[in-house]
Amino acid sequence: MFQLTASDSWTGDFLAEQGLISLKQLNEASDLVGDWGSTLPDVLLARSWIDADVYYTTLASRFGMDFVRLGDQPLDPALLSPDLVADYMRELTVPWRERNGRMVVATARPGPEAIVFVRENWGPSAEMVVTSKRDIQTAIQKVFSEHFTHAAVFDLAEQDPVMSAQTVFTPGQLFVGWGGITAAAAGLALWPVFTLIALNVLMSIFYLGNFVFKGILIWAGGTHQHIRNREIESAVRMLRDEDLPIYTVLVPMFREPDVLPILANALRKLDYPTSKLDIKIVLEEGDDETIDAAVALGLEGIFEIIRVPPSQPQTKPKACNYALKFARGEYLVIFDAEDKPEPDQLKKVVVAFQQGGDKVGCVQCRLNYYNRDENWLTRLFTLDYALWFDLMLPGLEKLGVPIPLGGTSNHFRIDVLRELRAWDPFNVTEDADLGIRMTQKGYGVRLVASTTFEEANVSQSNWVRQRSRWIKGYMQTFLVHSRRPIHLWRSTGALGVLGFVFFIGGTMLSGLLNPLFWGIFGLWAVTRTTVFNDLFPPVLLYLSLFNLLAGNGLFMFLMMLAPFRRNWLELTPFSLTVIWYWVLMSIAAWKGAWQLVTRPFYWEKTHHGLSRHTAGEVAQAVREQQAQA
Amino acid sequence: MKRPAFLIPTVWIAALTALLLAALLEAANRGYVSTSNMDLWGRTLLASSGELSIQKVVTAFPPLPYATVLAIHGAVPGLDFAAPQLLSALIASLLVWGWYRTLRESGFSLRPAILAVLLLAGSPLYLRAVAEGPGFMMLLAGFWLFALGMFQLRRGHRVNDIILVSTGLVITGFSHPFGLMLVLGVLPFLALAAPPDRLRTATLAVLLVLLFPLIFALASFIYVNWVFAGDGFYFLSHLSRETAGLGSSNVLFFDAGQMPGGIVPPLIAAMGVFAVSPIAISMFVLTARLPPLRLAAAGLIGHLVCTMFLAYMFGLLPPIAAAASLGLPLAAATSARWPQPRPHRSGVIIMLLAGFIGSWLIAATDPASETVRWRAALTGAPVPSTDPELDALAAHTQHKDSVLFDAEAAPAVIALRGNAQGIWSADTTQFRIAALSKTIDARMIVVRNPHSALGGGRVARNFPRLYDEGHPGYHRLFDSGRWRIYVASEGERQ
Repeated sequence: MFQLTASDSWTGDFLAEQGLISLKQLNEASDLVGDWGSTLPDVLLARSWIDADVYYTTLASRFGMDFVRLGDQPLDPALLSPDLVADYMRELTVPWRERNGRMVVATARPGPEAIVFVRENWGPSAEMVVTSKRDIQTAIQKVFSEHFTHAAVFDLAEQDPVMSAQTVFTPGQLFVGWGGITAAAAGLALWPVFTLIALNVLMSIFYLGNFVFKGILIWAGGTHQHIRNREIESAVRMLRDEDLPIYTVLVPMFREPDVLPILANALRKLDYPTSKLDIKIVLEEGDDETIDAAVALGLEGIFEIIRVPPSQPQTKPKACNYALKFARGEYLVIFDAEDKPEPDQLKKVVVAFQQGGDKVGCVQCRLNYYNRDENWLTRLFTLDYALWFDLMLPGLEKLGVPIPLGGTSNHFRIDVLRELRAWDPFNVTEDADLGIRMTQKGYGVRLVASTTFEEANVSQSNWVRQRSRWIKGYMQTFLVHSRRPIHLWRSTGALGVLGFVFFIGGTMLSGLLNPLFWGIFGLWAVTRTTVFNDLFPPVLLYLSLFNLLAGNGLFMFLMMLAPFRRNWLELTPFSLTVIWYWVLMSIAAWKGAWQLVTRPFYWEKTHHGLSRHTAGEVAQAVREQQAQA
Repeated sequence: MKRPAFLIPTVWIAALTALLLAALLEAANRGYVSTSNMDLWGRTLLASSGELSIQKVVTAFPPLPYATVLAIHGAVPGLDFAAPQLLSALIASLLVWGWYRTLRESGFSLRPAILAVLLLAGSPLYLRAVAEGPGFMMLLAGFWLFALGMFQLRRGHRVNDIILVSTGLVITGFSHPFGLMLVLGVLPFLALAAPPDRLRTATLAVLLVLLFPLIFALASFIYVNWVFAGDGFYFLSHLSRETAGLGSSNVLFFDAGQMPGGIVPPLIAAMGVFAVSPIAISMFVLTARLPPLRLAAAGLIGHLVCTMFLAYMFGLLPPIAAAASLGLPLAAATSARWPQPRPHRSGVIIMLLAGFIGSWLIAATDPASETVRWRAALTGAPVPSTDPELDALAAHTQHKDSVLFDAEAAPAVIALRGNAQGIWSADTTQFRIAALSKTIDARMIVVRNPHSALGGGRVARNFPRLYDEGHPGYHRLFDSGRWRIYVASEGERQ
């Protein structure tokens, strides 16, 4: 049996003596403490083997303290400092009121650690009362809600406006855009054929550069990768649990009650001591269905629920910024609700941070899908993700090009994150933006070969919505970081600028331009019309044909390479059908471009839980939890 | 100040390129230029002067050396005839640097690596390959990438190895007509090097990913041929002996008539490869306990043997000195993937030395006309002309204006003239007008004998009686049995 701490041992014996829990429950709870790396009270409360009110009242009575409900007897907000919020949350101890000239401190964890914390902060004369963990968390969030909400939305925009997407187009960008359009229009009016040819040449060169660059990336990414993976794996085996730092896990959710069991199960499976995990489920305040589901699952005993007050823009980065204020870890990671990270992920990341030194601000893990075989779209999406995370991002890392972070499983050094003022709530691909910003501020991004499995979109319309948001976000990111091209050049180098242009700019621009070229080619191939002869003199025709054939061929080939590393070769033949996937991407690109102008900060919500695999995953998660119970 | 990482390689590559270029130019000075180089340079001059239509340029096979030389000539026209030679020397230098780097990365210490590279690049067959032209050097480079990937594919499961194999195949297939044979011959042997677990679970997918670039590139080239020439396989019907490096003489190995069933020439070529690369055989023999390496070695050896027979069947087997030079990239790849982890690698060096001796023997005994000419240039002996008739055509047409000549049928003449000025080739307006109106107002007409092996070309096709009977107002200036030149009589022209 796992050896309880003295405090837990005493608490367990006391509760059993009082008849509040049975001996069987005490034994089982003691085992779970070992399994979860948690505390005995947290296990008992999570399992609902003891009522929270009864527990805290009994605890207060045992220590001879008063028990207070902060809902009925609120704390004095003037006594709280925003700088100490993480400490309050960690120690579950908070100044309550001043009584007779003496500070009274409320704690949900009375014991030696709390006494030391109280004396250090409020002196030896401070008195203590007992309250519940939930009361403390709710009260702190309430006190700082307005302050933190404002900071979550405007911190970056106010402190570092040039890096914020709050302004979509700067006057300089509008002027350059206007100048370009005017020049093109004048050219078309005065020298139409020459201008069209010049534009065509420019686009052809862009295409050529785009696919050559991506080919180089994949080559660079493949070299020496195995050696590094082996180094990290052997370093993970040397880690000792007691040396591991506190790790904050943020799980932003919005109206996704159904997938909560997957998340709870996956997080419990993480190979990391639970006592060192600071898991925060970040929910919008009005999202009652998810909040209720989380409470019903008893998640509050282990995870902390952060309720984000309503404000605009209602985006994931804003919610994360808000939750960050309460984070108490040395490192922080974001997972989506339906994510299933590989259990060793956090330890691998800790090693990567240790090996990388202080200038590594972020570690990005790989993403892929557990429902890849569900339909054509999930197969192509899996190929796309494998290409991106398994092949291209390692290339960016190797060449020192800024890495646009993926949607989840990006792990941060929390002090760096705070220094950079975290995510831009006005950018709908805040992670991609943060990756580029991080490089510009002198911090590196590393990749680790640990995968988080997610649910791939099964519906094309839902996919287009999601992708349109990504592409719109890439447009925002491109606009933000191209405001100061010289600064970008100085901070990321020539290769960085090239990578930024082709990787961020190329991804969105090719989506926009493809329909134009496909249309011209289709019309010409079918009708053999001579209308385009003037625009495509033979040399240009050859270049365009070369681009069309070599470009499409190369990207198909890269798609075929993508599943090789994971041995998912059954997906390879589907690469031949990628043309329709590109059509969907172009639809999404145009939708994103339209929204950039009309609703730049609108967050196109991706609906999760549509996959039949997800239903299976939920059922399995529930079964496993019941088996544990 | 920190020295950029690319500085030293750049200096070495530049120095080696300059050295090889000087050697090639000296050989040219002594009268040796390979027929494939003459052919390539002639077509480059025709294309760059507008005498050849874009359709002919983009459908020409092999496209890689042609497009690259055209680009170099376009960018630096002053290089003139040195352009293909420079490209050849540059590829050779890059290849040598690649050999050195892979040896170092696989654990060779400095001296053994340098010694190994010297034994490979100092081989006379390597110099012969460099002199053959950029197409052949690209072929060697492509085959080296392919062989590197093959050795590692089964062991490493890296995507880079797939890229090496598939890119190597594309480069090989599109650099030289012999390369087409190489990629055709690879099919049965790919499975030997593919990772067995992946092959078990998805055989077709593995072959698809390895062959997709080649298939797609070939399909694209066929499509381009169809778009520009109206026939997807136009390029095949326009492959010339000269482009394939076969030279003008039919003497390739020995008198083929005395050989039983045509088996011996490709067999000799295959044996030549192994004489140059005994290390590949050793790899096969000594790696009984390392199936990935043994199977890869078997695959590569089998592939080359199969290719020699295939090329012989299609009449595209080059002289033994050229064919056997494929053993050099094979030896380089084998050395880099040699499993013995000793710092001095004496065994590898000894086998490379054996290959070096083998390559000397082949270079000294190959009776093919191209090799004979190359040997003569190397030893300072008089270099026989590859085709005296073409020399004469070039001499007669040099500095002449308004020459009606299907130059595409004999690009070497343009190369020998030094430019395409004054030539009315088949794609020019003047030629078309003459063909349509059946009247000729050129100062000079060059026509090939319609009864020769290659036919009469487009001049004879448009003027069927021209070769035999001449043309009113023109008299015969030159007659070689294969070519005739008619020149306008001065009185008639006025």
